[in-house]
Amino acid sequence: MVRAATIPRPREVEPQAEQRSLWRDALRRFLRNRLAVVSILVVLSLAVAAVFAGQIAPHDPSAQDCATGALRGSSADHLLGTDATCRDVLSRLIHGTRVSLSVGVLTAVAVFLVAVPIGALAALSTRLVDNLLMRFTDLTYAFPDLLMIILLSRVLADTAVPGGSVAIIILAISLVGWVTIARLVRAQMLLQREREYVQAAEAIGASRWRIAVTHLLPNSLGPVIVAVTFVVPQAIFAEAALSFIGIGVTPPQATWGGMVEAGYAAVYSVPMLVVYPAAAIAITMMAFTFIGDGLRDALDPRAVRGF
Amino acid sequence: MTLFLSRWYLGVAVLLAAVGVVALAACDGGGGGDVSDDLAADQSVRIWLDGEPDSIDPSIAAFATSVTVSKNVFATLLRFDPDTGEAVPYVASEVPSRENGGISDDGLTYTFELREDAVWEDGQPIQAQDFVYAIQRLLDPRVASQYGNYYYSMIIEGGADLAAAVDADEATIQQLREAMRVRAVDDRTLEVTITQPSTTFNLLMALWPTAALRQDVIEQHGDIANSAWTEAGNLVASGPFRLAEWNHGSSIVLERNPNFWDEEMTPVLDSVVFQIIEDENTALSAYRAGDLDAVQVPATDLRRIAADDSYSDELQRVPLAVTTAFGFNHTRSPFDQVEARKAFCQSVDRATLVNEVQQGAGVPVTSWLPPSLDPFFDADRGQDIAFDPESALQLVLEPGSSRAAYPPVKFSYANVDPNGTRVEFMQGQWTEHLGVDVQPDPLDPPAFEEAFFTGNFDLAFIGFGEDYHHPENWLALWAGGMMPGGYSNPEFDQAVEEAMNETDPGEAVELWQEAERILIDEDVAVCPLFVHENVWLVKEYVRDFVMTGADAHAGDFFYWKTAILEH
Amino acid sequence: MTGYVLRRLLWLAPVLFFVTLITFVLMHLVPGGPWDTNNRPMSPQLREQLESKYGLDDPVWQQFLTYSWNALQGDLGVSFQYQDRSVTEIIREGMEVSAVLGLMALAFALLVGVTLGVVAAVKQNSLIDYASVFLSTFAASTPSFVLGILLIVVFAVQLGWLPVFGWEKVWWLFPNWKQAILPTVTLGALPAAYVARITRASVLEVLQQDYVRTARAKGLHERLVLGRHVLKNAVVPILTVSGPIAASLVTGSFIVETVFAIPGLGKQFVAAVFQRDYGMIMGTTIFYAVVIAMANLVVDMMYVAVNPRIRY
Repeated sequence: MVRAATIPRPREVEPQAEQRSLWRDALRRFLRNRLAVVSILVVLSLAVAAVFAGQIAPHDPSAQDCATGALRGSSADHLLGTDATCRDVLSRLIHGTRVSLSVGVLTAVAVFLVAVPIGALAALSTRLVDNLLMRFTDLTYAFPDLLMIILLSRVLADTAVPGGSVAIIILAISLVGWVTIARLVRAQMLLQREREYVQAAEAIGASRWRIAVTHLLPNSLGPVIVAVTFVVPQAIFAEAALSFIGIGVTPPQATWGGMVEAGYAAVYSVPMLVVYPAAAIAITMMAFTFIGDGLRDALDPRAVRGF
Repeated sequence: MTLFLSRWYLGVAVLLAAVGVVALAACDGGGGGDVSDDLAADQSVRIWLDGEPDSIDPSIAAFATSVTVSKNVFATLLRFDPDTGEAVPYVASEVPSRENGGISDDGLTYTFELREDAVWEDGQPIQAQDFVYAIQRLLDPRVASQYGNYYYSMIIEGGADLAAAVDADEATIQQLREAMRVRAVDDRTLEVTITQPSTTFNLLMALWPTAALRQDVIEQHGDIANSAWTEAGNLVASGPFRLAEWNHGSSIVLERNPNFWDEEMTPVLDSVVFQIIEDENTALSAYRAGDLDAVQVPATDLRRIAADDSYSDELQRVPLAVTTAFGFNHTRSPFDQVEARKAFCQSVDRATLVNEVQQGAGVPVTSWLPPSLDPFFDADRGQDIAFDPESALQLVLEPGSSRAAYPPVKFSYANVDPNGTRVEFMQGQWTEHLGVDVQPDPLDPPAFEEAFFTGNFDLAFIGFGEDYHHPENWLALWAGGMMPGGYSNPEFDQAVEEAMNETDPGEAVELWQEAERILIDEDVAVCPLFVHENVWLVKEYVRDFVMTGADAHAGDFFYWKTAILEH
Repeated sequence: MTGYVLRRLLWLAPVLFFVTLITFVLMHLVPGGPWDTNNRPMSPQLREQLESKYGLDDPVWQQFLTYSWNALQGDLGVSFQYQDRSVTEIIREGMEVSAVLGLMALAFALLVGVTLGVVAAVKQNSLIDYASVFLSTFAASTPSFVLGILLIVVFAVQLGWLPVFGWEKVWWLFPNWKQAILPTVTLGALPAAYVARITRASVLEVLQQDYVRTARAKGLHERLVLGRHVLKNAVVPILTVSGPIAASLVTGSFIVETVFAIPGLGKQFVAAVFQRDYGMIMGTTIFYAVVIAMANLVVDMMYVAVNPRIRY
């Protein structure tokens, strides 16, 4: 009888863990992507600005400095000038980080929380349920997004939704945005179901529930997380577009989208008023986009690197 | 590392380039080019229009853009003298009065004699029957005319009965139409009987809803309520211009009416082209690029343009008879107390609002009647509601009332530009001067209308634009508790009643001023803020673009006078 | 295949029904009615007259049935806002503009996006790659009205090369080409950026495949490799996204149509919702639902043409 200790170990096998964690690998790959790391730092500093806005901003974002006046250029007291109602632009920009980041991140979270269960349910249940759910997504898909958002925000505006108009915007955007993610979740899970390791698990006798939770779901989530990360910039962008259309966060709350829209009205006299918030939006969007790219490259070892 | 950095350099470069380009936008100048005194060969003016008219059918038209076109294409019995605001003859050869027998002794019957030479675009004479049909249609319940109901249903004898016959069958409606006291004595004579003597009925007959209508044309393209008769090609004009083209959502082209019958008002222009552009910036860009001849200056741009010498020959401005104010809900706390109303009114810095937020466009006022309503306007009106933050704070802190006692108040407004900016400004003023928490409540226009007219608001941002130049137009609507917000004061009602019945002009001035005094000084029923101003840029080669305070759209009283000079 | 198409078309019916129902319900739940009285008081009598004229005095369920019955017969009613015009007419006129602009923007997006994406993928990690990455990400991060005014100021006002606004038909449905350039670019910029990213990723993935290596090893000219093998296989993800992109472009963009004063359906639709023009809201929603469903169907059918392994 040969004792285990005397059998030489093959050289390629790592001496440490039996199970190479997908997530740890991913983290390592992610950290090697410099663009993504810088983007994370950018987002973190924005988050800090959002949390400590009250301390960082030189003025109260709603304070009207009538002595200086409206749409005045930059001065010592107002580094970026004043807006159309005599308020300090820099302070509003800093405070706007709060709303814009919340809209972006919370929409992504909401979409995730809605889409994953529905997509998973569709993938795992009977054909009938799957069909029904998919037709339901078709229905949501067939709705003109803007109509849904406008009508929803109007219907909800009358009721006292906690969080006010910001919450309403988040709700409205996520309600039209969850469909693609749900479809993706479903597609991914269906794909994973065909993989050998699942068949192996089934062969061993693992229950369907266990397979779903420990195998299918984690392995499907890679592309899903990436897609959800991209929802953040899309939501921030949507807030700006909605402000232009006239469905924004209620004043006097400072939001980048609202500032771009107000700046647009004054674009001939004070063009920089558009540039500041638009730049903020662009930088944030690009940061999240690069993070999403980094995540995708990190989570799928076969995916192409870069960009 | 270098590759990584180069991506960011590129990004920064792109951003800077964009900034540079946008900054380039600031470099512009107006004027330039020689303008001679001769008329150009191409007599066509391109004027900015801020939106598609809802309908140019006189019975239905309500938006300013609709009224502008309607006014220039259709003729009414009388029209307004833009300088004095009085009624002057148009299709009627004289303004009816007691002296010329046009008004009966009891003041109830008006007789209009029509001009012999007034004809429609297709040559048919404009007859009294055309006006009878117009007024009957205006009050016909199937048409559901807003202005018909508002101004005419009560004053015309039999009108109220007709307007009330909703869902009645055709025979009944026909009966009621004929029972209404509007008839054609003969082809050239129209007789109208009203329910009570009025000093303003002639003014009402100068408004666009009373324009003559061609029954045959309307019925050819539909029925009484739904007809395509206002499309270009279907419409038969009676005014100085005819409808040549209507590209929905895009442009409206009016051409000189070759059969127009009034010598004085025959247009010099061949055509007036209205370009429909909702976006202010695009409109200004079009003007700068030479694609438009006349455009309104956006409020946010006024300071820059007014300071720019190259625009000085092109800038035109005139105060309008439009008052912007905010209204109170008199049935809700705290605005059921006059002290609260006064405090809120006194704590808004109107001067800054006009000079900074609106960059000088407008005139701050503390009266409901506009300064142009001479001699009824009283310069001393509203002294007590002028900007005085200390006094306002005192009112709020009086024993029995404290800051905290005021519940959060909603300031409702229609969410169209530029209301939001003004509301936000005022909200900031109340926070600063009174410490009160006011929430802006932006609503879509129909939702705002509903909230306002059902009394579902605390504060409402409102405006009133004059339809005809008389204090009755401004003050009657506050009487009888009819105004949303629940303002009701029998003293005020009585003052209005007396003023309306007063025949002596001098006495009438006194009485109307007394009514306004009760409204504003005593009751602070509403808080007037400012009077609007039309500020436009008009190219130097456009001669006689005459803006008046009564315009629905800039210059629309005098399009027939406007001409293009060679340039 | 025909079976599949038929089944999809059959599904259209219940989808349309529910879309109509939900829109109808939501529309009536929203505060505010279709009457804009320009700040004049609305007397109860006027309200009665208006409700009678538009059939709003019937109970809501009855209104829904009446509307559905009429709609099935092709009568979508009149616009409440523009009282002399029928909804069908307004939609048709609006679509003639929006669809043309949308298709032009789609063509722009695909052309520019695919080109940029392929070039970036082929010359990976070069300056061109980074330039296109940044350009496309930047284009995707700028709100379209900002981009629009930028283009107007530079090309129309300062340089005077192009007109500022407008959309006139010169031949059939096609506009004056000068008027079409700026709106097309503005509308197509974001989709172009998106298509570029997808193309680049997809092409890069295909370039790694074995059969490409084989083709190169065989000595095939690079262009043939690209054209015959790479593109055909890379095109599936691009197709996937072009369906929804086409649908959203063709139905019109409120922002672009407002900034360039283009009388399209996108602008009309949003205005109708804000003004509570019930007739227009219902009619346009139904129309859009059909367009979106059709766009998806066309894309799914194109999958089969491109990749014969996909079966329905």
